[in-house]
Amino acid sequence: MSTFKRNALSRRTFLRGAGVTLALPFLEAMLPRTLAAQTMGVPKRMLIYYVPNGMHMPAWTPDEVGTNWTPKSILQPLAGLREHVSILSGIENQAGWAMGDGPGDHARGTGTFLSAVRIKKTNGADIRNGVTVDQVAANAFKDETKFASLQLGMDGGGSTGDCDSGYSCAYARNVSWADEVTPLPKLTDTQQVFDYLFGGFDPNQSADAVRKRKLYRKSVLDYVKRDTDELQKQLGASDKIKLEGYLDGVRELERRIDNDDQGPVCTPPEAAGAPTRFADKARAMADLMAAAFECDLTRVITFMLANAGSGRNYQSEPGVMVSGNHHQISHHESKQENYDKLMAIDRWEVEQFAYLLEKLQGKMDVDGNSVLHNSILFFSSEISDGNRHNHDDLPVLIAGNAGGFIQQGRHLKFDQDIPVSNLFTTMLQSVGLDVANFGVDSTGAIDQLKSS
Amino acid sequence: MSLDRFRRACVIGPFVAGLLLLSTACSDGSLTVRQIDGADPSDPTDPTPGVDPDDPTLPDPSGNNSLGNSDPSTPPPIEAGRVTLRRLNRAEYNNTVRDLLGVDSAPADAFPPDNFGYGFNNVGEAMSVSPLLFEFYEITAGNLIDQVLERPVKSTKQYFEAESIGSSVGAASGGFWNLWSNGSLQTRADFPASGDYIIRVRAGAQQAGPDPARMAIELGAVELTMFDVTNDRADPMVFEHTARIDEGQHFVSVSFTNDYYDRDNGADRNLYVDWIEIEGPVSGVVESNPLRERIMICSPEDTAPEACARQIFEAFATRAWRRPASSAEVDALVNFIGVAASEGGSFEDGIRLGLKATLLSPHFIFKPESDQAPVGQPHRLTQYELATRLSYFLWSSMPDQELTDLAAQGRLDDDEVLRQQVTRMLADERATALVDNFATQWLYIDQILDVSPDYELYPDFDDALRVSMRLETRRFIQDFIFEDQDLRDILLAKYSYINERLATHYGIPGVQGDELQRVEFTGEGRRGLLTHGGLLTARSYPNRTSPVLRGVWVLEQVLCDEPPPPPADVESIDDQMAGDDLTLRERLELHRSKPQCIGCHATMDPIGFGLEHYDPTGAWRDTDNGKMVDALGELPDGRTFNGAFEMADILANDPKYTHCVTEKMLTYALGRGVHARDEESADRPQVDAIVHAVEAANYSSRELIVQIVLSDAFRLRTPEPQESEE
Repeated sequence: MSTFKRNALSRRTFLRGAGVTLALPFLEAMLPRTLAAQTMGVPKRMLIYYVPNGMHMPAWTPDEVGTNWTPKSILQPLAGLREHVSILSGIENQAGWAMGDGPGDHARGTGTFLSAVRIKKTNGADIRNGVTVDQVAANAFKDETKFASLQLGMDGGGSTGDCDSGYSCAYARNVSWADEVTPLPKLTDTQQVFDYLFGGFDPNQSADAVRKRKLYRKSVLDYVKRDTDELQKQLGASDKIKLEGYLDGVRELERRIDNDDQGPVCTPPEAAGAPTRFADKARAMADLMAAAFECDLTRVITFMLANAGSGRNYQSEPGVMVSGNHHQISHHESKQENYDKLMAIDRWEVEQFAYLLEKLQGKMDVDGNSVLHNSILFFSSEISDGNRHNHDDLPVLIAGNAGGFIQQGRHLKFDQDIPVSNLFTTMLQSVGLDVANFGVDSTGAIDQLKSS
Repeated sequence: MSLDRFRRACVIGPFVAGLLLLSTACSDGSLTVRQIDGADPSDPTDPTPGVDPDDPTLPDPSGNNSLGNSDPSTPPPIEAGRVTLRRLNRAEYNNTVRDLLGVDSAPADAFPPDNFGYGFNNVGEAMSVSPLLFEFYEITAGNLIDQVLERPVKSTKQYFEAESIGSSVGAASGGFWNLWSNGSLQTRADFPASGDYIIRVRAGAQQAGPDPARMAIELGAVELTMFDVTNDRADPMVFEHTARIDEGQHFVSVSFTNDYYDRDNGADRNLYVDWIEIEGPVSGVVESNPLRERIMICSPEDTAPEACARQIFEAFATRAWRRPASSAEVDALVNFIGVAASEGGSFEDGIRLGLKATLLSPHFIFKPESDQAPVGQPHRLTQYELATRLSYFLWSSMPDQELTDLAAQGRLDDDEVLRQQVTRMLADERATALVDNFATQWLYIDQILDVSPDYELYPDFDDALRVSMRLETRRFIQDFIFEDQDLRDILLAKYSYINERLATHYGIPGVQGDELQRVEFTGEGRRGLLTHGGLLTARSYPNRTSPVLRGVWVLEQVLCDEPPPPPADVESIDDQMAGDDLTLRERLELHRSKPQCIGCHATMDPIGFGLEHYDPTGAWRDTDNGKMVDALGELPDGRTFNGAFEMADILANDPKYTHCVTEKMLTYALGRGVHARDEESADRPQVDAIVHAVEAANYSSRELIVQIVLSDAFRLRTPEPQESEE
């Protein structure tokens, strides 16, 4: 019956509930405005870049540690950006291991990618995850910008509910979770992202027309709130939870309408259109992410270069030209032929990330530094090695100085695996949140990452 | 309540757990529950004493009624289950606004994708609402209402007598306005829609000097045209100009631009204007907008505005919410008329706000079902809730008028009526939704759209073939939905629907053209769904087949079996595969020899081996890697077969198959997980009962749908606590 009880709790009760495996300490941090926003004028930003199927680690991990590291083949695209990035070796996501739940490492590693809590193995009912690190930051920054956060990706929903060995597709297709039960879906169409970010503002509208339109919209939202409250009273506990998610949507939109007094404070980029080639689309997404940061439309972005365990065939992709299903290849069976293919794909993925870094480096922020300097970026995958499906020794790359908080340009190798939640704690601190721990297994921040 | 009314509009059910509980659900949504064996005989409203034994709405004492055995001492284990509040998924939203508003634009295609649960994306437990989705709802509701309420564009004539409009110079003179020196006549005119308008001016001139009088026509500050007015004022002419003009109010001016006056010779050039007429728009005229008329059933000009708003909202909300809107609910919508008025907005503004609110109400976005009995006691759905379940099952859309009328009359508890409705609804084009949504998700029909075979190894595979493959399976499965077919033929059919492209791929001669056509298979190679190219390709890797993927598919989608859980130490498979000269089968068998792999692969692979004659694009092959294909396969229970045909024979006649089809369709119909394989689950006996009825009807595909609709799981609901127990 314990499952039932968990089901029956409202989302809010659940957040407050005792004995729930959720990181309570930082919940407090979700409430106050951020230190950064209150005391410093310079925005801090967080961006998560997810790639699927792990990495070919022998061609990823640099031989040297410290500042004097040489990028191996996969990291070559970052050669010109070395001072802005660090490679972290020995990071583990403990919640990714099976621990009796059997196969499904891709969905499991992706579900827990940013929550670092154990997800419930289910293909339907009672999906259960934890709030993700990006959403903790988004909650802190939400009043500063038009969009609390953005979820973007390359792959849409897929046509079947068959994702990974009995795990719900919700885990395999989303890395941002607002709370235990609410995955935040991503926009995957570049034109749609453009319209979402930059559309809806008509410079020719009179102030009175704008005010009236706003009032009209809010009057409808008021009605929806009342109507939903009324309906909730008639429903059982689990139906109420569904409507709670609906009310969250209403409140978020109200906030958006309130914050949307002006048009963009920058020149929007050219409309992205709908590129058909994969790399073109990845770059168009990078352009949009850079523009969203530059225009301060949001401070928090997550991006999935593909869904968990992606089977994309890179045969037609210039610069890769590798035939086969990516996931299938990642089960390399220790064959050199597969290693070669993986290295080509992995390097291409890092190239896309490098393109984004260059874009952010090229944009000047309000304090004269680059947008990259004022941001913290996290690049990683749901597993480490495609054949072993291990969740330690993850391929982890961070970029940006978070306004000077983080020291970059190094390869740090930890002797004992440290939980990825410690890195998330550090990232939250770096953007100005007063957080001692994130997730269930964090033991604090990684002090070596901080600038001395 | 009179007994008559009771019979007409109320339903009674069910008998539960030794207590005869009579719950009375009426079509007006009211419901009472009473314990009959302790019924109070002094209560004059107690219907028990007056129960008519022949009343068809009462449970059949013979025990044949779906509600079960009426003997209170041996109650059947009725457990209707609970369907968690479901919202409309993308397909349902599209279809619903199509049927509600008449808009075919499929706006929900832009929404974020729906999550899947138990293999289907209409499962309430698995569907959440993100802020992003709500934002799409809000934008879309506004767009839809604006689109539907577009006013018809009618061509009108506006006539302005020159003497009655503004002028900068001149005076009235004999029915004309005399512009005696350079200056203008000006009027404000309405342009109800953007389009072409004809501007006519009747004018003449008193000529003098070398040039004729010149007359400009201006829109605002823009000159549209200039006429030479060569005729005399005694002989006025109509000057006409057509221009494209934007919607709105604009000033139209007629100006005299070349005044001439020679005092010495008494020569005076003047322009005399009689009238101005504006006709239009003459392009893009739409005399009526039926979509608007369906909603705007009254007009504030003819009916008191509030009464009119009430009529409009009541009718619309009742359709949009799939049940009668209460008067308090209509009041809340009528308030929007006041909201708009207080902002200086029009009646129309208020209507638009209220309609938009109706589409954002949770009663539209969700399909609420009410708990109307004590916690844990199953009760019948209201008639409207049942109509909604039925229409979303068969059409992925809202109930139509006939279904709604039957609900209003309380007739949906009659098994015969439900049967008739199923037949009627499956004959309707909207039943294609069962192909689009149920079959597509059950059989992975659209997975072919996501795979890309190696173009060097399989240069024949292109998008035309891909599309043909998808259409083949869609067309094939349609027969089992629109018509009554033997469910086993899904696996055994000796025919399919293919076009020339696909026939060539399959090596079948004599099929011509792009259109799918029914082709009877005679040779080896093709029989039933398992040999459809789309499925075989979708369950392959780009450069080789995957017996594992194919085997898992058969196991999970045809038999509803799951692979056994792997041993705990399966995490690390650092295996070294030897021998590039092996066939795939040999390599996989090597893999299976490893103790940590054998658990799953011993189950999955040998099924897939049976399909090894079909290459990664579903084409027939006799050899793999230079060796003869070995298509010997084995089911988890040890039965062996050689090739796809023998496998299909075994599967089609395996009771697990019928069970599995039932489980899948019931899951989809209910939008909740169905635990048919769990001995303990209350779903088990229900699925068993449906399966028996289907088997007794010679595996009729139609009977499967009917039996699902008639099942307790479909018609009842078990309430849950309002609050958690903690």
